[in-house]
Amino acid sequence: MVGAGILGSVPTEWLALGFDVALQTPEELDAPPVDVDATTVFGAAVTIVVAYVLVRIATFALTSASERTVEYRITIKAVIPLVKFVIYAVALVVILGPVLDLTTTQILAFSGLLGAALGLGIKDLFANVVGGIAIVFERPYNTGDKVAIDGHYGEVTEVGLRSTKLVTNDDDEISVPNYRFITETVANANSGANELMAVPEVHIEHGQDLTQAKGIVRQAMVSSRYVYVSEDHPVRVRVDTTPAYVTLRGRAYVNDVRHEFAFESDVRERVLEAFEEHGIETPDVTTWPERE
Amino acid sequence: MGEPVVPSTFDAFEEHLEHLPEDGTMAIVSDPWAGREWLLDHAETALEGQTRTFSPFDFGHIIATDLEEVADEPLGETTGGSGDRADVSEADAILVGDCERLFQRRIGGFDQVVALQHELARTDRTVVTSWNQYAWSYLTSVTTLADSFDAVFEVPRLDVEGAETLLRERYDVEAPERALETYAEQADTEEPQTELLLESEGRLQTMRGRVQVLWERLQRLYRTSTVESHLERLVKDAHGNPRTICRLFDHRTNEGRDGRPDKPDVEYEESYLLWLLLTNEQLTVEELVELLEPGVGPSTQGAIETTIRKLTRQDIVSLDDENVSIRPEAFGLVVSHLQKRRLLW
Repeated sequence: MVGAGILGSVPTEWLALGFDVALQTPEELDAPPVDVDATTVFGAAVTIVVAYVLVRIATFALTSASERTVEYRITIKAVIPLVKFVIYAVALVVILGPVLDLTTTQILAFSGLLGAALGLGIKDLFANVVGGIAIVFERPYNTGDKVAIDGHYGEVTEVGLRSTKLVTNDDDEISVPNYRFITETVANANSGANELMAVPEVHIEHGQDLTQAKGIVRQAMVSSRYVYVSEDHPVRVRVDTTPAYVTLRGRAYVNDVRHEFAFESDVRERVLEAFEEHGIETPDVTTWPERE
Repeated sequence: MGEPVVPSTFDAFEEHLEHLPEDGTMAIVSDPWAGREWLLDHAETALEGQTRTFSPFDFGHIIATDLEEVADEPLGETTGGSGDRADVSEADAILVGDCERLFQRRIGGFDQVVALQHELARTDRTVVTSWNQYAWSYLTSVTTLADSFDAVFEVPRLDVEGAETLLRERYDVEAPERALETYAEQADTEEPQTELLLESEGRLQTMRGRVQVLWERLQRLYRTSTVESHLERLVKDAHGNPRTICRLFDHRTNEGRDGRPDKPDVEYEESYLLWLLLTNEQLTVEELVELLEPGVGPSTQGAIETTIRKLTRQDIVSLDDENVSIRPEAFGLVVSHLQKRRLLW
């Protein structure tokens, strides 16, 4: 036990938690009392409302601007979480600055309380917020990117302070806590680019004309209305075999990340039609259990 | 005979032609209505020896049949083109125009392009072909077509100087810039179309309407505050296309209006239809149905006709006796729109 301040003696271990304000006499507390009155509270409330409205306006304006152009959509959307963060950070400073005109002692006390609170279980929330800040600055992915995390694959639609929202191909909105993006492996399919590689797959029976089949798959990809081809974005067909069938795996880029599944569906549909026309046999799925 | 080209382009083409070897192959590439037909006709008279000009249908049939490949029929053609291998063999120089009609963007639609590449690889005579610029860009990205030619002449888009020369010759006007200034002065005193429309309803009703009017005012402010000349603006609006330049000049000086339609208001599938029209320059409704495969987008005749009607109402395309084409006035907007959609590379 140490100290003999206004609250009497306190255990030594409490010092680690910042409860040392009690050791000081009122004369030693040279900071003026915190001036929190109705005006302050009202000002804080107005600041919060203004910040919220500004965030909504900025989000609306940037989202509208991004939807008007495919070329810059992802770049513009990537700015949105940063803008939100800046607005809220400024609001926090405006609110806390005059209200919490803290002395060193008060800051230490606050840190002690904060440490206790973290220890009491809101550490996950704090981890998410830190994760959100890290995502904004490090940018492992941006709004508009297609990412795979936690078994989910979808387009990042919003990076919040606590969580990141993905929209999957089935139009499900998944909310992933931000700390998951720091601790888990994240696969980013396009990293801010408009184009993204799609991999349509088809299977054929063994013994088919492989050259013709590959040619059909390649032509289906390059003739798709969603494809994007350049020197840096070539079109390829890969052949893999299993005892049961042969897999033709196409690799091509789409001109917009949102066309990924439409492209794959378009290619598969036309390839299967062409296979039938040219007598190229596809595996009979009814016999698969026997083959396996 | 097609649109003539400006003298500087003609001189550059002449130089290319002079340097072409006897068994050389050349591709002339240009935007629609930008003079490649005229250049091809000039090549026919300029080349020595016996020249023979083929349509893409006939030539495609000859080379594909010769290679014993089952060629997909070219667009709009019935079975069996005219001419045969003998016609090719007898000529010293072969000329084939509008070669973009040799391909269709679907499985099996590249056979005649492949056959052409075989033909060019083994030919011992001069071959000069012409291509739509956008079809050429697509084909050279997805095939090795560009490697098959000894020379590629791309007709440059008109700059301000070229536009001035063209307008002086075409309209017998000494100072096109001054003529356009008069239009611009008149236009600045008029209210934007949108504002007139909205105000005729009594008030600007929606946030979207207010934003639209504000945007138009900002655009006009930008145009009047920059040092860009009216001719520069015209060339930019026309995307350097000669016919578009002439049409817009006509509208602006004789009718006192901009001449361009609004930006296309279309879905992605409809944008693809515009791509087909841009690369083929003119298609019938039946040909569009054949090219737009079922399953995705407007694939039935009725749906395509509805889309064409929608585009006609927006003044983007014209429908003339079953033939659909992009209006020259809308050319710059269509190119810009398709670039934003990343359908043009």
